Amino acid sequence: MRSLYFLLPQTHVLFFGPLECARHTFGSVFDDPRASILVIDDVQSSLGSTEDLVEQAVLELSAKDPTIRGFVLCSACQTAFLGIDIEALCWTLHQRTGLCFAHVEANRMAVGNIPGPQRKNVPGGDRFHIRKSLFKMLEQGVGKDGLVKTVPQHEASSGNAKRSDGGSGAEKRPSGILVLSNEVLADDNDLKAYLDLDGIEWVRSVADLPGFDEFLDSASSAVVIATTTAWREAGEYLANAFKLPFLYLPTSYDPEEIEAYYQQLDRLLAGHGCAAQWEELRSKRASRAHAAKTQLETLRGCDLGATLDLRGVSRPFSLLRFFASMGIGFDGVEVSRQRVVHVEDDDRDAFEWVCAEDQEFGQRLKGVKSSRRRGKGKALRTASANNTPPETVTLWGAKDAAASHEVTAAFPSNTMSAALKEASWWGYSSMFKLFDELMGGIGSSLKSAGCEEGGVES
Amino acid sequence: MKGLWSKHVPFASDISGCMSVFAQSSALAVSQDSNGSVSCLRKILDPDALPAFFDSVDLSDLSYAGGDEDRFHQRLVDMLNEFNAGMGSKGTGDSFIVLLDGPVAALLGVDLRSRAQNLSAALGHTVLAIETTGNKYYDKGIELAYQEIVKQIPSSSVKREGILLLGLNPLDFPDPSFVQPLRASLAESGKQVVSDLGYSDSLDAWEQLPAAESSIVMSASGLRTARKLQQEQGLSFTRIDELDSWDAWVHGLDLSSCGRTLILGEQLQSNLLRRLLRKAGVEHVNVASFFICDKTCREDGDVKLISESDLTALVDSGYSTFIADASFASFAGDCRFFALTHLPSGMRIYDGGSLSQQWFHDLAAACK
Repeated sequence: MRSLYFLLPQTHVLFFGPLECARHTFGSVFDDPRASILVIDDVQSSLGSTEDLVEQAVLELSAKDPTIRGFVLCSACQTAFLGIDIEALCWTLHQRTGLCFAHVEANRMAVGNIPGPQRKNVPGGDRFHIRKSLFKMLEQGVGKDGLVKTVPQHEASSGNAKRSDGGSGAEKRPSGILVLSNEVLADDNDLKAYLDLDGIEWVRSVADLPGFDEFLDSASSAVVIATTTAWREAGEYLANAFKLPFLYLPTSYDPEEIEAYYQQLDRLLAGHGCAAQWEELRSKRASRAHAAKTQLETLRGCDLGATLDLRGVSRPFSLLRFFASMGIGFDGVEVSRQRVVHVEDDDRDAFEWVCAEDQEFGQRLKGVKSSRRRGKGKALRTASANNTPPETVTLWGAKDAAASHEVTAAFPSNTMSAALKEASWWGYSSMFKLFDELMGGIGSSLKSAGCEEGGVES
Repeated sequence: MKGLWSKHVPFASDISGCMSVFAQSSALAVSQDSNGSVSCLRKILDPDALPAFFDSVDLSDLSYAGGDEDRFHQRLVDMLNEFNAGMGSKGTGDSFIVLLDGPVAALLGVDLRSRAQNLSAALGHTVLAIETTGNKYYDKGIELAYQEIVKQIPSSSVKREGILLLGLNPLDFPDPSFVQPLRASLAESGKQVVSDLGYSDSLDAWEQLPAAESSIVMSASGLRTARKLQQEQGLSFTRIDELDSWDAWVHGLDLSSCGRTLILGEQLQSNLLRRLLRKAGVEHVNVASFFICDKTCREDGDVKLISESDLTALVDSGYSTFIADASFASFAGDCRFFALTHLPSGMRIYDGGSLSQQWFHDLAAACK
């Protein structure tokens, strides 16, 4: 949860509500200069003081830190029960301060926070709304003509510091490709090849945004891509509110699926760049596709004995099916209960396939689905991949021994400590990243056998 | 601004404090606060090592908010069945249920006592209703828990000759060895501890309360109950900082180099620390607290804190040494800082060590 609230640069998170909620929800932001908690007790909220107290806190915080351009206001259940119009408060505060405000409901009863009737069974499902809410700040930063407004110079009557962002009125912002992801894009991310096209001036993930102005650029995106279900709602919101082209393209290791993704992107970006630039771009892509397939062949010939960490992998079952297509067997699949109770639509076919292939896994599933988890009280929900239970699979052997590089030494099982965090890669670069992980896990034995290591140069 | 926290997070609420009182009991403690207090407690206590079960009614169920009493009742029945099944050999006596209110429930005016009565009649279990709100600090919750426990104990004409320990709770006293010097000195003088109201005992022990002739108040959360028992039943009480049970911890130590010292924490435990620091040569010691700050337990210069900015201003007012939970290290400014764990403040974010003989020796070594 922590990383979500702090995704946008130059913003400050202000949680307001009862002490109980403040401690529970935001105890993890201890000593973080980007967050504050405003405790509003039952008497204050009953007497209608919430809006005034929030405004007072906003003015105090923005006076202390003039770099703040936006506030993420997080409200609790008590606020909702009192029917306080936080959206109106956001607009009022925007008009008074020139800053941008987003409202995130930390209220678990709010209908908008529940993506479906079985909310608890959707991994992170009670957090989807946070991503969408963050982008609602754009509505205050973007004019009705679709042009992004710069923050005007002003002096608030409360004596707030003068903001000198310069410029006046609206201006057209540079366009680019926005990847809806918590992860920074890797340098070799395939999408960065589109920077060669005229009119595409940036390729960023949400985590890449260097400043608030760059966040406002999101409203000028040439295309918005979501790579995981968690970001889908946010992408659909941007498509509706700002008429931006949006594609849901979950990370894939299937060359055919990857090529289909590129076809969609190329169609949407056809208005950018000249013919020569497109020819160069497609040529490079073809070269990477060829290199990826060559790596596949190399791996097919290697005798693997490795344990792969599946945390951070958004389509783990599709990944296993991919391994099988490479001639690499697997067993000992261990995934978290949430993965099993709620299988994403884009992974469901592969999930059924894995259950059929790994009988032991299928048998264990029956126990997980039918039993009601019972601990001593409720377990803590954990948001970061680093805190999730271990999720691993053991890869072994080469089913197809006809490849040119064969290694017959007996490898010990090596645990790959780094999760793939694949959201930062995309397209063929995701495949290269996977190959790097596998090669790294196998280690020097491959070198001595003459197998290639590392990604392929484009 | 009052209520605005930027450097620290606010402290554990009354619900967490209240639940902690029942941690060693055969209690099913259920809060109506959507997991807030339970998740806080799990950060600082190990629920799997405790006899009690903590759970919460999730807001999203709406059962209690919407007035669906049947559904709420069934939910509690299910919880109780699972609790009893899980108790097994861990049971330390008759199990009972504790219902606690949360912020929304309190705002809605849910009649917790009626719910408790109905549940008790239907299940044949003791059900305590404690009207926490989630808007006050943990010590208020402990206070409420004690008041409710005392209410449940019928008066008796047994001979009064034991000692009741009040305010001894796992949040203020996470290390049970702290109490050993007290228990040893009581044993030496032939006194028996009748109950410590939840720190190590449960409902069946609490029924021995009428056998107490006096009480020892270990933290400020026990003061109100001590005064009530004094008024109604003639039990005299002594405060922990008035006892010499721990004086030996600082024997031979010279801590005078601490200079003007500020202690931040729970009031009575801080007073005890002040007593021991003075015995070790520290002349000027003040106590500050965000929690219950009883006027009769204060000295000149002691401060009841309200906001974060109050603490910043206080520490900057000329102290040489600042002793507090490790989470307050960033407030120390130019002061020398020594950490002393206070779980409701720091939630085990950092480790600071508990009040013990070793802690004083470490302090002495650091002061050299």
